[in-house]
Amino acid sequence: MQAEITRNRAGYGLANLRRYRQVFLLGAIVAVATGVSDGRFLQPENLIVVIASASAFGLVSFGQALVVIGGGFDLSVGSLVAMCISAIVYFRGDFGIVGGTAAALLVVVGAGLVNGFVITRTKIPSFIVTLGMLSIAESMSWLLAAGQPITVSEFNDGIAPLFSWLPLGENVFPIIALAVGFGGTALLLHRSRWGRYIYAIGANEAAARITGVPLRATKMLTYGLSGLLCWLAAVVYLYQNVSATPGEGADYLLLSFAATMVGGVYMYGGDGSIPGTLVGVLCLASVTSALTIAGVAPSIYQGVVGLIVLTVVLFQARIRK
Amino acid sequence: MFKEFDVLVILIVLLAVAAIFKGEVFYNFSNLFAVLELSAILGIATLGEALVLIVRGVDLSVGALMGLAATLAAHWIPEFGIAAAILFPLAVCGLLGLVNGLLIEKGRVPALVATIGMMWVAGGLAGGISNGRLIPIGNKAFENIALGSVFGVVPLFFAGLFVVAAITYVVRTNFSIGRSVYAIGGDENAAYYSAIPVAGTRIAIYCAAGILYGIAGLLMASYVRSGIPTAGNDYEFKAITAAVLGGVSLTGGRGNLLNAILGAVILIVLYGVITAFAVSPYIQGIVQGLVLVGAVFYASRNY
Repeated sequence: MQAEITRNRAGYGLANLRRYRQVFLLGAIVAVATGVSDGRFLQPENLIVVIASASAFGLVSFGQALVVIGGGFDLSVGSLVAMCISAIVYFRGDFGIVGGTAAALLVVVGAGLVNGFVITRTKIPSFIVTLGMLSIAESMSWLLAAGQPITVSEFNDGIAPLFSWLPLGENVFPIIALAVGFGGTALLLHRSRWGRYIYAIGANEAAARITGVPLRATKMLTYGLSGLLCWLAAVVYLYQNVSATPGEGADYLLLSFAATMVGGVYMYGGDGSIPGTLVGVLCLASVTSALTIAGVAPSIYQGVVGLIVLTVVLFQARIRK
Repeated sequence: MFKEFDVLVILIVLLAVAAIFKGEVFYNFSNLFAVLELSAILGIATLGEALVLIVRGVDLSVGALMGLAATLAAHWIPEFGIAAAILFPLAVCGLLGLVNGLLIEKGRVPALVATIGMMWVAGGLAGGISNGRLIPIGNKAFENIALGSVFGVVPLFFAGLFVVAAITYVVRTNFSIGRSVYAIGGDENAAYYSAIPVAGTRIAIYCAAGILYGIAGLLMASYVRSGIPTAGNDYEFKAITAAVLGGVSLTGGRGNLLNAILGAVILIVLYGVITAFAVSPYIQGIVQGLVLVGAVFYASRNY
């Protein structure tokens, strides 16, 4: 167990090349993208836009990575983002934009903790609990917004001018948010006691329990943080898009699974890393950008992404056996 | 015996509530017809999901395969005629179900992950064929699958559900695969050492489930008279909920297929009752989530 944990913590030192296969995949995708776009993909402006476009679903993916490494699944993430967007609008009426955003934070972290509570106190599998939460959160997003289209321009109006002196300054905030989410989750998972608990539970729950790992608290933490990151993703989404229809953001569920899988997170728990997940996020964002530049119809994007994910997962499953 | 049917109580209560409070809204011909048709669609999809759950798998590609079957049928009817437009989509769905099974059994990919991937691939195929738009179906014969009825009362659909259920029942009781399915779900190793072809049976079940989703998708297309790529969205959720309501165990090896269909009927009646009370339609998702978690909780006390 200790060896296992040490190996995981050393996972982003120059330990061995196989752990870097995601980076090779990213390199290959970038090369293909550069080829099909006559080099336009590699323009610095485009790269910045690609990273900024990955911000919201990247944040969600970090939360998903924490949950999956801890041996669970969180199917509610996309709908929590949607619920959070609607909650910001709902509470803005009473508390103003700052208070409303804070109230939405409480709601969405609360929902994550409810996930964790039910999962740790009952024998219901995590994917069922979070599937139930998916349905509830989706309904809540329609209820809170009263079924009306949503417009929240305050984030963009308030934050964008701060960076307007920079070229492409509107992309600074999403990238900062992504960096904060990345740094926070990476420190927690790779440099703290709680991170080791998460690995221990994901690798062998029974052993972790016997060793005295606080099972319930750690699991509650992962689901609560997943909710927190959904909140941040919702803020980034509103900053970038200003308007939304209720229920928007549900796609992030599939994207977050794809990013964690491509990023090398082991779907049965106990292995994977936040830097790996970031590489997975950048892979997917690059693929989407390349498809757009190549003029592929958006309606078949998800099919292409699905094929990539299945191929990568099949490849990883083979390596592990 | 009666314990097996404790879900019937829920159905009776729901029907009684509807009768007492909303008799004239709920108990009219067109509403009951719609309830039976939707029950048939969900029932057939649930049958597939229940089979997968019994062999200790899980399948989230239900809705995407339904949408794909509906889109393919609408796309192919003008070109190949009705018979081919029914058979080809079913073959495609069976093939994709087979790929699910191969990925899971031969590729060692977790079932949740493989079927989520399939959800995208099938969704992308359907979106690519239809360009993300609805394809109207102008074929009278195809539409009549939904509009036709037996003795003028029972929808043809619902009769179709009984035919599918009867075939499944015969296979379950008279062929060895009917027993091995439960043996695999109950204890995979024991089944393996009893010379039951574990991998082959699971793959066959995923393939059969794919065909069942395809049938459900075709019925849906006939009901709404068009091929909508996203028509089956949320059906994986509904199918799992219905199967669990019908007493199918998420840990495999337990569950009666006829009860699973009953679970689907209950879910549709529940939606019908919610609609009859004309509360906000958005409440449906909240009830749906609570029913799913509640049903699993009720069942998990016995594990």
